[in-house]
Amino acid sequence: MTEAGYTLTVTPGDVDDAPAVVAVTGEIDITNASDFAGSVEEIPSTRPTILDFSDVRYLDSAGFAALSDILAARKAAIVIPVSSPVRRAAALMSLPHHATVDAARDALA
Amino acid sequence: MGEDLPADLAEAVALGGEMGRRFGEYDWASHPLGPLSGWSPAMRATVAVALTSRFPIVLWLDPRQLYLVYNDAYVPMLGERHPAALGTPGRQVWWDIWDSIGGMLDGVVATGKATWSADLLLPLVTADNPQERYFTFSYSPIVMADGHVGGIFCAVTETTERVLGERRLHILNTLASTLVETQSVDDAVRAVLDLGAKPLPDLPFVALYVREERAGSARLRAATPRVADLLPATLDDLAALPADVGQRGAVVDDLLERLPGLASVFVHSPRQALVLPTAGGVGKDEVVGALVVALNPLRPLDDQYRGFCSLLRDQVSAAFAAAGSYERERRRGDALAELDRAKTAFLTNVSHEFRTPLTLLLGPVEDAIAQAGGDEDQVARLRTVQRNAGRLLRLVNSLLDFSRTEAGRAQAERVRVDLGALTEQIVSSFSELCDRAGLDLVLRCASVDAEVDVRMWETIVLNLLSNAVKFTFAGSITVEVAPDGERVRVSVADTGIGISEGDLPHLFDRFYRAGNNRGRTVEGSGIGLALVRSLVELQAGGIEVASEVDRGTTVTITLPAATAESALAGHQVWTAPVTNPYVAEASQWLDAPESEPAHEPGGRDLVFVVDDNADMRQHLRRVLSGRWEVVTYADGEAALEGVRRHRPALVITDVMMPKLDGFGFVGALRADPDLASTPVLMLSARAGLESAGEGFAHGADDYLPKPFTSADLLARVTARVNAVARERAARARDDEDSRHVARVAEFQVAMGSVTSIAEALTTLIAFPVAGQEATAAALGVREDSRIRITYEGQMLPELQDRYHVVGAESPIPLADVIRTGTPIVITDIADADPRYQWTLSDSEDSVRALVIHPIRDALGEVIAAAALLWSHPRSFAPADLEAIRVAMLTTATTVNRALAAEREHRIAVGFQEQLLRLDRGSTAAVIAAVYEPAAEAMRVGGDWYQATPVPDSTKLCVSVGDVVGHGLPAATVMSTLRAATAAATVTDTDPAAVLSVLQRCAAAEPGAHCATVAYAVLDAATHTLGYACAGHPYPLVVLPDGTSRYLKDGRQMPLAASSGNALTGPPGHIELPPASLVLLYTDGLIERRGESLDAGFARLAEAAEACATLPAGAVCDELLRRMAPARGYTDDVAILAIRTTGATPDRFVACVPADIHQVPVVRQRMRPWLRDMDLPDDLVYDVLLSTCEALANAIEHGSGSARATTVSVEGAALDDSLSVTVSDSGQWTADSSASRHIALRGRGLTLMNGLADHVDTVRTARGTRVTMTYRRSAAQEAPHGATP
Repeated sequence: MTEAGYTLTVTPGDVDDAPAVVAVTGEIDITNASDFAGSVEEIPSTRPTILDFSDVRYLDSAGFAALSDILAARKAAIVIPVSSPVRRAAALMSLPHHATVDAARDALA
Repeated sequence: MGEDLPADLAEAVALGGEMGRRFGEYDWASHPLGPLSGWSPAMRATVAVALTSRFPIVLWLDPRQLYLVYNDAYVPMLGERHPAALGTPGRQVWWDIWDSIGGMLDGVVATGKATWSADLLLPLVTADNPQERYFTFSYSPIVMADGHVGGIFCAVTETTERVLGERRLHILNTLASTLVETQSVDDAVRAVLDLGAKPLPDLPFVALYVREERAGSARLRAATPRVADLLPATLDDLAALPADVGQRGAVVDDLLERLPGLASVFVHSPRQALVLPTAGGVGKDEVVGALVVALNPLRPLDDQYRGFCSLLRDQVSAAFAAAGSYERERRRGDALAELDRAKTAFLTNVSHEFRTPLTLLLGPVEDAIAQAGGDEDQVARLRTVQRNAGRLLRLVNSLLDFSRTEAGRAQAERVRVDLGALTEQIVSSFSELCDRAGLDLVLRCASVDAEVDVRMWETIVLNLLSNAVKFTFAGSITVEVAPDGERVRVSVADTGIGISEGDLPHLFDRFYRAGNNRGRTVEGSGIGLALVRSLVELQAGGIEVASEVDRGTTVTITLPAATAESALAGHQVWTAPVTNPYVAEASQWLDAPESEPAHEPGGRDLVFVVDDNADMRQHLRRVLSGRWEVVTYADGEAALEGVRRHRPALVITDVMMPKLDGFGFVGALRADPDLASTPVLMLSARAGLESAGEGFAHGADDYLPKPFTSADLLARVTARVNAVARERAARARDDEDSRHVARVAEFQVAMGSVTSIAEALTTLIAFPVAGQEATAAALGVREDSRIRITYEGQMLPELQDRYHVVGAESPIPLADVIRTGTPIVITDIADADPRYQWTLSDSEDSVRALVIHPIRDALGEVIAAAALLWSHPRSFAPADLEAIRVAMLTTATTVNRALAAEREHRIAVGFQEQLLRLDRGSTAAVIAAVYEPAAEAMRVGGDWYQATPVPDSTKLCVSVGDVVGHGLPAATVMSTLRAATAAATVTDTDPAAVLSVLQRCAAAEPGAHCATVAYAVLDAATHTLGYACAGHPYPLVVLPDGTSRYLKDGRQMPLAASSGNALTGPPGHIELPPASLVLLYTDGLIERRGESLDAGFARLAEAAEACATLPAGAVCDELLRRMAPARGYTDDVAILAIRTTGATPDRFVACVPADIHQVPVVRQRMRPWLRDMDLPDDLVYDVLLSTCEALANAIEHGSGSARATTVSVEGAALDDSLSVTVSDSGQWTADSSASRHIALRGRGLTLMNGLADHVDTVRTARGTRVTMTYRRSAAQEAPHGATP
């Protein structure tokens, strides 16, 4: 595997205006950050979006920049659990995030 | 008209002024010396020297006649003899002094030896009168070609003024030293006459006429004995002086006629005299007489002479004035006794007169106080009036009592009383006061009857108690009344300061005041005890005093006990007055002055008031406190301490004070260098010019006699304080100026020795601006469309990285300064131009204030800008900005110099590196190389390094070679051989084959003779290295475990050293594990004068092993540093390092094309290496993320170049840390004006700096190297989610 790769799994909210949860896995870096931003854009923004990064094992500055843009463009929340290695970098980047999906949901409510 | 001048004289004549002209026009042909053309060359040369000299020179030409030739400067000495003297025989010209000089001149002609005469007296005759004149001159022979003396050369200068000046000064000094000791007018006169006793040329005689007290002519008081009989008795008979004779005096011209006998007394009889009025005595301007000074007939009365006579007169006047006052002093003593008697009578009268108005004063004041109601200020003022009027009344009463007793008119109305009870009653009025003073008042009053005048007894007791309180600071006052046989003994004993033995006998003398100033106050009239004694005597009693210094004083009064038949008066014989004036006065002594400023200093100027009188202190405070902060002291000692602590703007001090009086206080101030400048205004009740003079003499700046008005005091204090403020401001300015000049000078010296930009910036930071150093300094240098910025000082590495290269159009202040050439000053970025907000806001923590100045080259072009940066907002005074401007000018010079040196070095290095452009296209290994020209010669050399990737293979060929010689020829040959090496590898990379090609090539190239080369081919796939050397130092391998070995196989002679030169054996072959380091280098690296080659090899091996874990680029730099001889390399040095790629447990090496898609590739390769170290997930991610951020930056920056390049990652696991270096061959160039790009790059840099424990960035012309270091335990220690 020589290219960074990611997958998005979208779980719509159970009621009308409940946020959709997007589980992200894999790696997002300078080579695919814009692809990732595009993929998220494709998710309808009629509902708030929770981007769950619990299973993301790599995220670089380009990825953080993309997330900042996403947060600015749509109603969204990012989940980075306490156990994630990405968390320290997220703090350095001042990226708003939540430790759990529930917390993100509460924040969006 | 004279003859045609010989050429050698023509010019001297032209330059010779008047005498040149006269000499040229002189008819020499008719003169015994003959026409000029016939004069010997020596003579003519001497004449030329003399005529053109500005020093007085006279020539005596011809050994017998000594004809005069002289220059313009000599003319004044000839006086009326000029111009006839030219060409005239010496004897005729100087007939008057020929006796003195004729012999000397003849001697020079005869012996040829020069003479030297210093200050020789030559009485030249001017206008028929001989003059006393002095000359210093030398006669030297003019030697002719045949050796005989043809004439005499004389340089001469007149020294009359100096000789006479010294002589007269001596007279004045002698007189002054004699006059100092004179105490009477007669003494002074004698001293003046003594001067004339020995005949002095400048004082043939002196006479002194003194006018009697009133009108009338001044009469002869004394004269030089020789002439005393000749002089008239009155001054008028000697000279009719005009009324307005003035200080210059008058000249008597007909002295010989007026004093007919004079001519017989003197050889050179004086013909003139100067009459000078002498002033002295009571008033300074009163003329009391005249000093007659006869004048030296051999000298004119010029300014110098007149000045001398005036000084003489001044001394005499001063002596008379001093002597007069001394005599007056004595007479005053005699008159005093008489006066004393008169005073007693006077006091009696006057005191009486005082009582009425004082009484009238006190009554209304009391009424006024009662009606003042709540107006406390008014009450305070009235109380002051009341207190002091009361005091005056008491004084007047005392005086009256006293004068009555003195005059014997006092009548004691003695009645029989219980003396114990009466005394106790009187004393008890002091009990509250003693309480306040902290003194025990002990009463032991037995009931004893005695006959006393009750009012007088009151005065006696109150006086004694008042004294006891005045001189007792601690302890007790004991009043005892006890029967003592037939008598009654009353004693007042204190534990005060006591009275010295010397003072005791005079204690009861009236007006006698013990010479101590240690009491609570020095106020007092001195009649208290005298009065007490008189009053006691009126009670038929006696009084005595026993005292011991520092132990106390006991006054004992003995009275006769009451006789049985006298009637006892009622108990209410004595009524205590409402306000006892003694108590009121004494309580004033206890009012402590405020010796601390009430307010914070710094606002108003501080004025000290030092006076022992509390009312006076209060009064001054009231007057002054409207404008100044006033602090009061009661004595000089406390005030001196206060001045040390508070440094007042002005001190107002009384003269008479306890402990340390005003004079002592001012003296102490002046003696202390720190306090000496404190201005002092002295107040004193002692009026008169003399006491003012005394005040000034003791060092007071101003003197104000009491009484004074408030307005007068305010005016004086205001003037003085303002003057001080002005002076202080001026001094502060001066100090600041001189400190400023010193700072700039120091800075310039420091800058002068600086050679590098870094040093220049460090020096600039240290330059204090208003005592403050900058946090950091930066220098931006324009390079085409970019600005390269260097930082020194405290500056976040992250910021340095972000702003190390910016576009020339970037909206940052530094770029603007370079673009516009105008300095920028920002006191706080919060208020800065919005244009800078975006860049400045993210540097807010490190940069808040800055000053940037442009730096221009010799042509005035702005080439750079230097910035001083502060981490906090600050203001700049105009003087600070000026200081910075000057400092920046100096910095500019240094920067220009450093840039020039840098440029020179870069050109040499750059040219070579351009020539030796390293092909980084191969990913087979990490490659680094460095070239260092010999220290003493910045020029191209014959060393090369080269890396040649083999296309479509995992092979990389490298070579390092050395062509004999330097300069362009060697460089040309080197290029040829280098190209041949590259070409050879295209067909065959085998070492033997390559060297064979080179041997052939070198044989055809004359300059290539004896060139050496090391060649190696690396195969990354097989991890092997083949190599061979032609006369070249052995390549060195450093294995990942840190051991090293030289590659000694595959040897052959240097190229073209001999025909048929070839490898002596098979090429070398070695297996290289990943992360191995191979070093190829030229012999300049290891050669050192006076050292064997083996020692050089050993040093290199040691140095290389120490560098084992460093990235390849750092190895090159570090080896250059470690191997450098003390004075730099004597030969060019080339080093090529390759590090094989791959991973071992503690090393990771990767080299990838500069393509952004390689970032995940490296990440995937690196992750297992990190995982295998059992690092925590967090650290693995942190290392990967920061490494990849660095890698992405490296790739972005390298991508500007069209050439295919590579970037590399070298990681090493050390004992407790991990280090990863990302290297590229780019310059991290900035995209112009793209703030968004800078912001994005900023994200990466933030991550790198935030995740790694240390980030070190090294930028060279060859590329950029970022090394990140991580503590292995860092991730475990830092909890998840912690914000660093």
